[in-house]
Amino acid sequence: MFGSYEFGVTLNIDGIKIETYKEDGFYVYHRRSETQEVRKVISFASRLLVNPSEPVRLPKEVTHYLLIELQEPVFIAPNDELTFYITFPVEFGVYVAGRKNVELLDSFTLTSPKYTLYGTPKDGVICRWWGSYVHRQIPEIDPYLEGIMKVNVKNICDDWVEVKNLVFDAYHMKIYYGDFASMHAAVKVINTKVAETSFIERPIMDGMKKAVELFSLRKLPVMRKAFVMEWGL
Amino acid sequence: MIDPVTDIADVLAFKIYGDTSLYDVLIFTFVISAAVIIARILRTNLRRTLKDRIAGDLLNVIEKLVYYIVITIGVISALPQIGVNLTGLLVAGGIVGLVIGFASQSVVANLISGLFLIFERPVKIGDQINVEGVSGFVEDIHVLSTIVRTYDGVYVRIPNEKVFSSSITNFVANVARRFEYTIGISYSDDAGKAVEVIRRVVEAHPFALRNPPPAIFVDSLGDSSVNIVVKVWAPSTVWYDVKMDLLWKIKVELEKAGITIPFPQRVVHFAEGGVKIESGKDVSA
Repeated sequence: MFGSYEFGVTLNIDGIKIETYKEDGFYVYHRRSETQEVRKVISFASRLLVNPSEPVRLPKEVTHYLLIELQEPVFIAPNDELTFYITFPVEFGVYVAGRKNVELLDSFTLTSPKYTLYGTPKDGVICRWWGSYVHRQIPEIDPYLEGIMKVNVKNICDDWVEVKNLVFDAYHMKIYYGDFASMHAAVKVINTKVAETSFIERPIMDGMKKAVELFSLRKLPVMRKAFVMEWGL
Repeated sequence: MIDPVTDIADVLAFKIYGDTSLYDVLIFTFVISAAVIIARILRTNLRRTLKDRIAGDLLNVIEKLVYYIVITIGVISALPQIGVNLTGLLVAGGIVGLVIGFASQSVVANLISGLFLIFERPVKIGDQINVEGVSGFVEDIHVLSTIVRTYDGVYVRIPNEKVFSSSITNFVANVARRFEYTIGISYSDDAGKAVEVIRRVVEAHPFALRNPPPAIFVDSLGDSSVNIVVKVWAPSTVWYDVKMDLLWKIKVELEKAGITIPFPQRVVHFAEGGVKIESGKDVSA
């Protein structure tokens, strides 16, 4: 499913057919499903990379935040920590691999995107919404729809905290892929209302490859490495 | 015999006014030109490097700041070359400034308002605003005026003083905004089913925000219809697209569910025995 493919490939991703072929002297990229068709001309017979991309860009890029609502809230004791697994939505990024760099050619998802507001209309942020149960072990998932995020929540305050939502910034995401997509996140709870979310540059399992970071290409070096959730957990 | 080197040196040493020679004027011109070229190169490179990385309005302010700072440095460095004493200029500047201020009050008012607009930022480039009855996108904020492109694509230049002193409605200042519809259904249809159909359509739309939650309820019993109000929050950047898209989807789904959107209608009851018309007058029978 994810990986690198030579020109001329035909892929079938859960009913979505992706092809690259030569037609009338043009190199063509073609994706089609029951509801959508995308056709693009490429200047040379380039390789195709199919990677999981930051899941905040479809159907239209309006934000760079992902909010995961925990279907079972997690209570964490003062100065304690807990590691668990949750799921996140998968968006496929199809890249053309040039002689020196890669460029996004197409993207699609098999999930139904939904957006929400975190915070207030004045100061908050729009987020892609996703709901997930909390798992102690890596859960069974449909890799076409979901990826797995390992989350380590560390409560450094002196109160019990209830965590219902986690908000992540796509600019910090480090996505890896193998048979499924994965991320490894760290959450530092500062007080009952404020937490800091960041990503660890390490796959959750051995043998996973790093996906192309679409947002990091636009990132300024001075940007923070963590997102501060200041409108509640 | 004529020595060309001495000849050029003589021309360059030619005094234009006071101690300022042609050579000084050339150096002045060169420094100013170099400053303008450097400022333009910096501006272009900044735009190319930061275009994808920071918001367009902020980039515009940074570009202008860098551009004018470089040119100001160039002018300040070059002025002594043509004999302009900056200390004297500062003293004279007070008096001259006063005179210019009185002479060009509106220009100064626009300038000051422009600076406040750039730094206070009630509107940003790309925002959708309404000022003095003009609605559209903010194209640019200059020092003296703000350029608005109306929704019809018309260019409107509004003096900054007017923008600053008027009520500004910024449709996208907040990240999310709400819109609403009133949908009338027939009295003979099931209002509960209609609410459910509308709720499903709203929940399926990616940009109808999950939180704040949408509100869908029977609002009033009208003359011809049961009126259902639908209030939906959407990201400010796409709210109008969502508003158009959602209303169409609601209409289609209501029709599929067999729910009718009635025309205005009035039920007329005739008195028993009907109406007898005599000599063009209505007379009760």
